[in-house]
Amino acid sequence: MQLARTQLGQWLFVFILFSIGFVHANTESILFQVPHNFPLSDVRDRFVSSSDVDTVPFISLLGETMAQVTVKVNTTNAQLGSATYIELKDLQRDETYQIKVCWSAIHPVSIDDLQTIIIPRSTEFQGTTSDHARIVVAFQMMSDSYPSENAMVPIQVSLITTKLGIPVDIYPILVVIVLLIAGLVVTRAPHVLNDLLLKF
Amino acid sequence: MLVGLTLYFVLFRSLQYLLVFLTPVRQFDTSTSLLLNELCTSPNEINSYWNKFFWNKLLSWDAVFFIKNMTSKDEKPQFEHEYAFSQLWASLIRLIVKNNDKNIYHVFKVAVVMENVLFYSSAIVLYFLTKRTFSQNKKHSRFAKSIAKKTSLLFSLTSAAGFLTSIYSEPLSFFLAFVGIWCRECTISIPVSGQFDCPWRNWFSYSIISMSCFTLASLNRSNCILLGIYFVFDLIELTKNRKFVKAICFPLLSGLLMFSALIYQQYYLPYNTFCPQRGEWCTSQLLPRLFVTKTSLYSYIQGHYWGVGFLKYWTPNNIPNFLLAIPNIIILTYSSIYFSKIYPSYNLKPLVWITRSLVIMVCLFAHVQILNRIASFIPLHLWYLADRLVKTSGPEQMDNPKGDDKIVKLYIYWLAFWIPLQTVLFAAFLPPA
Repeated sequence: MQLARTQLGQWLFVFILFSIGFVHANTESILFQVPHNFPLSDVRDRFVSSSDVDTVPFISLLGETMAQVTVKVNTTNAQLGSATYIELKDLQRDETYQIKVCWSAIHPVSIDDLQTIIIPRSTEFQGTTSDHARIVVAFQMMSDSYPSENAMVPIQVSLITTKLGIPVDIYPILVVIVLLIAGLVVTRAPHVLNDLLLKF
Repeated sequence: MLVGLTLYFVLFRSLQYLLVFLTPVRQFDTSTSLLLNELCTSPNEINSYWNKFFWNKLLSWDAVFFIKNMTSKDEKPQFEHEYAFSQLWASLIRLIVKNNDKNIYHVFKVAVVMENVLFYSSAIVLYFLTKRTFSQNKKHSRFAKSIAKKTSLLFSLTSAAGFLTSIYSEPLSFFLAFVGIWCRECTISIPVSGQFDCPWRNWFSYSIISMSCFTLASLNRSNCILLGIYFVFDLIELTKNRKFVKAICFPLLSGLLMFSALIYQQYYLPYNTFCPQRGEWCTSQLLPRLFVTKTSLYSYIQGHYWGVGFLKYWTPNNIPNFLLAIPNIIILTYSSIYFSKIYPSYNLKPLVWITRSLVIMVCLFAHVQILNRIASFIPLHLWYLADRLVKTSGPEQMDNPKGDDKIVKLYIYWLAFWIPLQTVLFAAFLPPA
């Protein structure tokens, strides 16, 4: 019986991990691996570079495992097919990152073509040039409502490091879930509940 | 009974809210902060201790639509798809806060309190409904009292409990559905001869109270339209017994009033609000210049915005969602078999039809996992569980259960894991929705 309960807990844990892959609603995400030979810029290089003009919004993971930025996107322009770009800075070679785009359901929009683009060094991009190759995340936002919304919609873009294939922001939640299941198994909660219902 | 049930209700809810508090502040879907930045004028208020560690986490999934509607300045939805979320529930909360204070946290806290009040009241009404249903005209039936106690406690442990920590519209429908069924149950009479009848003295209770409750429950949550099956059943039975005047004055009148209210809400009101400039569903009129369209606004919204439709959810990536719904699919299906084949009960017949219709409808047309949330307006599966628990003489018998008792035990074990787990997943803004 004890073994069966432990196994049930393990199955629940695996199931939750499996379910996370099917998140929809107001979140879009992709996993991105930085190529092992990608010429990353050194932080010191970036500061002395004279041609860098930071007009593209960016997320920096300098000293962090995750970071996020909020950008406001005009849905009217989005309908004309313009994309939103955010540069990803301070990444590590061969590391896999999750790029997550969230918006509030009070703004009925959808995100399409979420992808990463590599910009070679000294190439003009959105009116900017850099002495180093850049990685940019791009997405298109479409109004998905009637009547169409013409507003500046705040969008949150998160860049999250992954460990063992799982984004690090999920770990605290997973810890709580594992502790919860362990607590339920240890306290024999299902058995207690069954007894309670029988005796009530 | 009342003290025990109240204590357990408070205990279960407290444990759930403790889990919400213990869930990490950073949610999987980070959009709650965006919502709060737009709806709340004071950044300090958003980040105050209790808001940060407790209240903000309850603004997940559909709660976003409800809070937007409740705090809306013009008191009506901004977009077409927002009509899918109960206007009745939002209006009730607006009425309680009386427009004095549109502060999002004030409105939200009032709504959460109302959610719990309605949930608790539903459990109490269900106790009396169950007692009435199973007493078989005996005023002091020990069996009825026992099954009623267990049913109410089981209802407090509904598989929807995680969502009901927030501001979902379901408890309002639970309450109205149970009051409606109770009123009908008190109204009808099934003498020993088996002839179904509705005494005239009960006309008000049947055709006004019961009808109003079923109608409001359906306006609040469209799946409650299935409660209309009660009127269809009663109409057939009275017609079979050649009580034509009563058939017209009781079920036919009630059914028509309920149907008219739904036509008004689903067709007339949307047509006058959106058509003809909307195009799309507006163009599918059955007759020119008639407001009735082939597709109702609700069906259009469900299909267009959420991909609801015949077998549309039957894709490999939805297998986890089907697995999540399996316990309720089994228990609802089995309870309908139990009360129609194993222990057939005449007065539970309409509820058996309603249960079967709901399971078929949700499995074939809807996002199947919502069954865990919406099924509790039907008490049949709770009566099945309670009946088996009463008939099981002691815990020894439950240690090695067989047949029905095994199903009951597994379902209760599933609830013990599912409710806390789902509460944490909801507070973390993780699926299932």
